[in-house]
Amino acid sequence: MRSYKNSLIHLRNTSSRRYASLTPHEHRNNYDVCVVGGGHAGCEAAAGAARTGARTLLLTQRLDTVGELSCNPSIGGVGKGTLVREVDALDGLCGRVTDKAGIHFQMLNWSKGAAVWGPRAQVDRKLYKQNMQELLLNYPNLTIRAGSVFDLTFKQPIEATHHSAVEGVKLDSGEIITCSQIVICTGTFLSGEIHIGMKRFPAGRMGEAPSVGLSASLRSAGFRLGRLQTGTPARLQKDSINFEKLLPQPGDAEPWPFSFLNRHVDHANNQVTCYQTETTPATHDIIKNNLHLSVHIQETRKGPRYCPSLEAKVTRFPQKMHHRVWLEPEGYDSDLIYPNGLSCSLPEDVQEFVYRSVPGLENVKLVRPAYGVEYDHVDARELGPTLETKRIKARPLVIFIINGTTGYEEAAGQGVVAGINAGLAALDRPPLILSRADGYIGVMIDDLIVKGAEEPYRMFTSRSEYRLSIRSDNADLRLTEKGRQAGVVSDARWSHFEATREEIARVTELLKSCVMSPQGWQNYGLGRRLDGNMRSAFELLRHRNFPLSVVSSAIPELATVDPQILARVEIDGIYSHLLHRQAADLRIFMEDEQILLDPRLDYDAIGGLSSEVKERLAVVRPTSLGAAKRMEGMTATAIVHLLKHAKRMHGRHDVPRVGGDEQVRMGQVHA
Amino acid sequence: MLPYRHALRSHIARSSFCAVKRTIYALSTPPGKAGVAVIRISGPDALEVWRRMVSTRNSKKGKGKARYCDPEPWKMHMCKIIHPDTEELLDEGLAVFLKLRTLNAISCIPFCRPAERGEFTRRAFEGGRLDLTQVEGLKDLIDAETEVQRRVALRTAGGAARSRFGQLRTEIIQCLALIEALIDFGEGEDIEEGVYDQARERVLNLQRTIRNHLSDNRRGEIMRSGLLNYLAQREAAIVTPVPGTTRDILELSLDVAGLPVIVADTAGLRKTDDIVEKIGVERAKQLVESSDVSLCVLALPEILKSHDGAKFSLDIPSSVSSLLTSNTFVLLNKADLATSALSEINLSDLGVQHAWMVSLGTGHGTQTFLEGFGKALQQRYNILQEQGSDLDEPLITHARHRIHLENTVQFLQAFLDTPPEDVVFGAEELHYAAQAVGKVSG
Repeated sequence: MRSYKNSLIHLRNTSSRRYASLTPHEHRNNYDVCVVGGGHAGCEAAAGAARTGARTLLLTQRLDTVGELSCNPSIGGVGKGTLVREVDALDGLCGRVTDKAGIHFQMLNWSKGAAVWGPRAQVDRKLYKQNMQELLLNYPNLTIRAGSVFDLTFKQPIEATHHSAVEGVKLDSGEIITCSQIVICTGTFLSGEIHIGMKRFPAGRMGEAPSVGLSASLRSAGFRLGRLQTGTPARLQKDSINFEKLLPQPGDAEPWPFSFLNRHVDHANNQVTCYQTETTPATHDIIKNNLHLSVHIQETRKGPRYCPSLEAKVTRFPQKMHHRVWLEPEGYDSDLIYPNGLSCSLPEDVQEFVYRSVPGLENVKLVRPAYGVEYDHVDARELGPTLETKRIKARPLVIFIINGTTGYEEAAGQGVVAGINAGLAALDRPPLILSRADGYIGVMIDDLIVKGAEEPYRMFTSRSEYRLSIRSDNADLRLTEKGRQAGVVSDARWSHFEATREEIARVTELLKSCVMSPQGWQNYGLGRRLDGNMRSAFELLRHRNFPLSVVSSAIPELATVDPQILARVEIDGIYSHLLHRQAADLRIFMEDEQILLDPRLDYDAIGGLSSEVKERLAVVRPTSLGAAKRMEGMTATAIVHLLKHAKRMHGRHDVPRVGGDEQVRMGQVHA
Repeated sequence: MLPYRHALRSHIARSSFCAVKRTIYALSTPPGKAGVAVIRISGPDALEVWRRMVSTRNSKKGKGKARYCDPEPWKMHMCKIIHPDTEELLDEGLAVFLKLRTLNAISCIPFCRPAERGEFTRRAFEGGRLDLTQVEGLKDLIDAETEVQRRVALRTAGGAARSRFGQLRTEIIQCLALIEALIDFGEGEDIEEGVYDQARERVLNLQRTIRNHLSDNRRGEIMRSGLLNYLAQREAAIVTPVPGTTRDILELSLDVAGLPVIVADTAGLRKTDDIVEKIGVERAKQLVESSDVSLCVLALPEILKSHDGAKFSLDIPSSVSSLLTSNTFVLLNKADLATSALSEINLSDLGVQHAWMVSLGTGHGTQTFLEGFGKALQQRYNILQEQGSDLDEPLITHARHRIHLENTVQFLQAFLDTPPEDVVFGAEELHYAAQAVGKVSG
């Protein structure tokens, strides 16, 4: 661990020094893609880049922290679970690792229907990290190295031109690694600072040094940096907790695996129990009386609204007497409990009082205190849909940045897209762009790059306009083929996917071709209004009282079909009648998406735009008319003027590469 | 002076058409409230008004138009205000002439041109400073024919409609947010009890509000021709004493007590063998049933029934009485032909809330009728009552609004029809409802 003092010195160095320029004798290493950071984003980015065939290096401060779960020992949830499924559909890692490391599985929103199902698992920290490292250490095209990135190296001083080429990264040791693409996945490490009570010290995670130099070089390169906050609760000693009077929550009897490759999860029959408790008015009083003892709260930055600290909850909802708390085991052989919902940044001695006011925790021992962390992030509006920066444009080097989110799943989703695109760009292949219509990853990236992140971004089903068709169950049907076309889906997964897709189509056809009159269905005990309308078995599925288990009595062939396939066809049937409306919305959406705008447009040259709109456009630099429409503060007129401009420019100029694609041209105008 | 002023002047002489009178005046201070009344006169002939109505000490001395000199601009003149025709003294006060120099000067700049009709509005809309409803409101304001229309248009132009539609949309989105919270946080995280019911309750209220707005618009009112002509103050319908003259339905837009009312004159409801008239009677019946307000006009002498030659009572033919409800307005005309019976007639026997006796021929009772009828209409449609809550304001001023609001109501209904376990489907409907109401403001 580097000391606080050292970090300060580095900072000062950065500000007084010009950018390191490369001298030939410094060449020691050369890669296509260099991924900085070994968290959830870094792991997916490194693996994604390597899958494209690019020679990839994963740089991490410490090898043993690759795949670390810095905060809660769980993966998935409502919205988040769908992200994990999508990463898996692109042949990513986190789904498979969760299936191996999961020790408690639950399908959230089970009763509300598949459109909003949220697969979630408690994982064994050790198993997760171990499995992730095993996968990565044996990954083709991937090298993992310990090393702290201190700086980016530029070919010429950045002040001279905005089109400077970056040549690589410089490590703390002074060693320089050249590469054509950099993916920065530093998370809370970018000038990270931990807050406990009135104490504050630089750190990315407890006990790990932050990355200060990198933050300064990004700032000097002209990137807009912001500060975000998050936090983590204390870790509790298991045997100091009285579980007896708490509400136990067992895992699902038949867990749904996260990965499309798996039929089962490893520990389905050996699941641990979580317990529910809640805060009390006494808890809230202690917090209110000690708010002045927290730097984290006093210097109000943008904290996560949707994973709030206890202080935030008590301040924001003063009328609530209780807040729910889950006690989650950290692993099979761990004697730690993670108290989900008790994140705070009060002084350590106060924390003990707070925790002991919660039923079941009367005598609890805090093994490690809760803390808040504050860190730099690059304004996501600096990025394009591939997560490539729009600022440092000159090839060959392209920087991809991941940030502005809260949660492993969001990080993994961005990581897989950035990594794959870094690899594709290095190999001069067209990019993989996921739109809002493709999946939650597309929704998340679009939200981030168009609206920026005021607070750490959390995925919700409600952020997606098309959630009836974009579901966790069909992530593979939406994404695996796209991934295959980009060359990042293995042969094994591809053949598995093709078989699944064919079988789903076959069974769906079977159900659709079984058409009977209401009288006919009555013969199978399926009473319906005798309205004389012929209906197929598939159509019947939309009614709650006709589950497939009942309807299938009319189709004996279904008896031999894989239950997983049957379940998926049934879900399709439930939503099929509502999809025509969504399909119409999607068509309109796609029309706007296909009208491409050059992100380097001179907005002053477009007549009729107000100065406010011009300013907003200059910040976001939207790459399609659709993205422009979704921007805050856009007027209908401004859109019309942009459209006019796009049409006028049609065919006149080639659009420079948008998000790494030489083939993208303006003027696929369908208006 | 504007270059075309001369031509315009000569045109004024020939026409009294409103839009051609380009000099306008208004009381600029609230009547009865302000301590000082300020009257503003603006336009190419403003100075002519001064010459005819303002008498200052200077001009008095001068005597005669030849020696008249224009007032010194930007200076207050103590003056007498005189009637332009009779020269009678009306008031004493202060007058000031604000000379418009800027406008003329601008025209000297070669790259400028006078704005065309509606051009400023269009630019304000294009620049995002006015939304669609405000632009529509401005147009309505210019086209307003009645006082209520003018006031509604003024509010619309001022953004009242936008803010009301905005409120409706916000309310839908808040309901949606409750439902979405249930979906995204419903399990494992803190969420209040009863969120679904709360959302449902709010959607019900919202739907009621929008339905009120939808039913707010008036159309169709049944009149008899004599009355119609009286109200229109012009010969719009052919009125003859021969029954059956009105065979088709005549519609007129009238200002009744400030309300824009579409008046439909129908065939008289009587038994007939004439095929054409029969159709007319049939149509009249249908219209009566579908209109918001019906006013039944009957000739008093024809429905008077005398008992023993002394006592009188009202006998309404069955073809008419079947259409009467307690909300029907009844007007008994030709009261002058039945004076002997008037004292014995009890209007409450008709079983309706509002009934009057008039003679349109002599004008007797018409004032009472008009006031009473106007008041009853205002009460029923609750237009722009000062104390009325926002929710009662008329909102739908264009057919376009109606279509989108009707769609909104349908989507809200679909949400209400969705069982709580299908909360995801319900959320879809709310999403479309918010989209539909959002389309009104463009």
